Amino acid sequence: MKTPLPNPPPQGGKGEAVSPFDVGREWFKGKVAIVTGARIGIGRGIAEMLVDAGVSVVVTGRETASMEQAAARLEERGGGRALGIGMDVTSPDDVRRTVDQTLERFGRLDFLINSAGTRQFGPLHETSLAEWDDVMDVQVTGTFLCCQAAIDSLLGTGGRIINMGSIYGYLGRENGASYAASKSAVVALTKVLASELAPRVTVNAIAPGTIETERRYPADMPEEERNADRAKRAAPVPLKRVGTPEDVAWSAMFLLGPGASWITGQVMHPNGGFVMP
Amino acid sequence: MTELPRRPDGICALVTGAGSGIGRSVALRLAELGLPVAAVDIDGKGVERTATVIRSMGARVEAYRADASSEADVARVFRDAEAALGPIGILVNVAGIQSSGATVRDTSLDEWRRVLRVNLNSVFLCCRAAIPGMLGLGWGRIVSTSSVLSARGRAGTAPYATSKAGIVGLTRSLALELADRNITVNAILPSMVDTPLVRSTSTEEQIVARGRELGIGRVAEPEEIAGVVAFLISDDASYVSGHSLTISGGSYILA
Repeated sequence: MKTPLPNPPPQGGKGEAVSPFDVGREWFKGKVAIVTGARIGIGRGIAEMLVDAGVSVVVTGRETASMEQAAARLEERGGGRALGIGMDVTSPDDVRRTVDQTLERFGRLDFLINSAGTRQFGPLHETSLAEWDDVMDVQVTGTFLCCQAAIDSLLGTGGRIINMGSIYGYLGRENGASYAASKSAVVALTKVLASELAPRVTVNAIAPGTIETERRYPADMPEEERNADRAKRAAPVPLKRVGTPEDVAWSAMFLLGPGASWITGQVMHPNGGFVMP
Repeated sequence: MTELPRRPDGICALVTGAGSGIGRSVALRLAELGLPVAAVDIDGKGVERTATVIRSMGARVEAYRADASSEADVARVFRDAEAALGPIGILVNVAGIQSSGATVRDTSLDEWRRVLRVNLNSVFLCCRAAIPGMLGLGWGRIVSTSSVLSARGRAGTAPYATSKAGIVGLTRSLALELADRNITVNAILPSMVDTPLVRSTSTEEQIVARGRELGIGRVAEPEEIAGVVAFLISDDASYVSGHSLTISGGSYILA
């Protein structure tokens, strides 16, 4: 017997009245996700929204203790369960162990969101090979390793992968060649994976614009300074504000949701209209 | 009226991957244009053959056997080439390898790292080595060889496609960093080119079949890539920077 494709057309249409919100609620309930780089920022925002939708989430970051705290905070929200794991995305053993622990704890894997990232800024001719390699390792090789480790489980469930690109992968970034190169590279990897894992798994990328995160605005940053920076960054954005992790998380929810079953190898651009590729 | 920047006299061009294929054609073309050429390749015999042809044309050339992804080799070659041929005003990054054709699931971490290092780190290292000299000249041209595969999402090309897409992001960023210094930085994205590298992994039938998929009906000859490079390094291209130029025989490839 032929296995049915895991990405059927969305419900509704054909004269039936079905609330898309009901469809979404059923779709997410009981599914299991891994979100890397989920301690703060975009990864955390996605993890929170997934938990709120009833998805059980494994959140990873470099430090075990802070990820256990992050998981505890997620569990307090109700909804899906959470497990925090300290993991280095550049370590094949760490990555493999995280997938194994996910399967042990939750029994399946439906979504992989590769949100772990790092950055280094400076003119290219003053960038050391070690700095360059570090950005490539975390962003590009890290995404490769996490996808590779999750492929078999995702093929089994008919899952979804989301990788994190950036507006700078499209525009380039002065004094950020390593970052822009890594983000362009991640998009290419996304497209190749989308071809390889079709028709069972969809693979897409999100290329956010400027996002307000704890990294950009640490808690001890004076309010005045924060507002000035926000205003400066918002000025060239058509929608006149910087983005939030939730702006990106909603894009992720769409790509992971029932309405995106015919979307693969694509890039979503939550960026306030800053670039329209 | 603004005086347009002109290529300074006495500069030379450095070409990586000059031992065969696209790099060899680029080296020959630049020599024809009267530029002294530093021809670099990890294949010492190949790069000597290129140099022999260039010498027979009566042009100046130095051949260097070097690994463009080795920090030490790159430093040595730039130092020696500058001493022998003059300031390096033109850098053409061609050196690269293909990946095995394995899917992501079956790609070893060793292969992944090797392809990224050879194809992408080499461009980073050579650009980095070239910039101070170009800033000194107040003029420069960098052209790096990406690929349509960086944008196509073909199964079985992950390490190669990823490395070639990285070149595009690097190019766009570096173009912005150097835009007001008369240094342009561009990438070329050829589809399949008939080179020894391609012939080492594809049969004649496969090459013909791939060519038929393209609007033009055939794969490119290396000379057709060298001609585009000749434009991008010319003064005619002084306002073209950060660009990804697709060379694909008429087939539309989103880049």
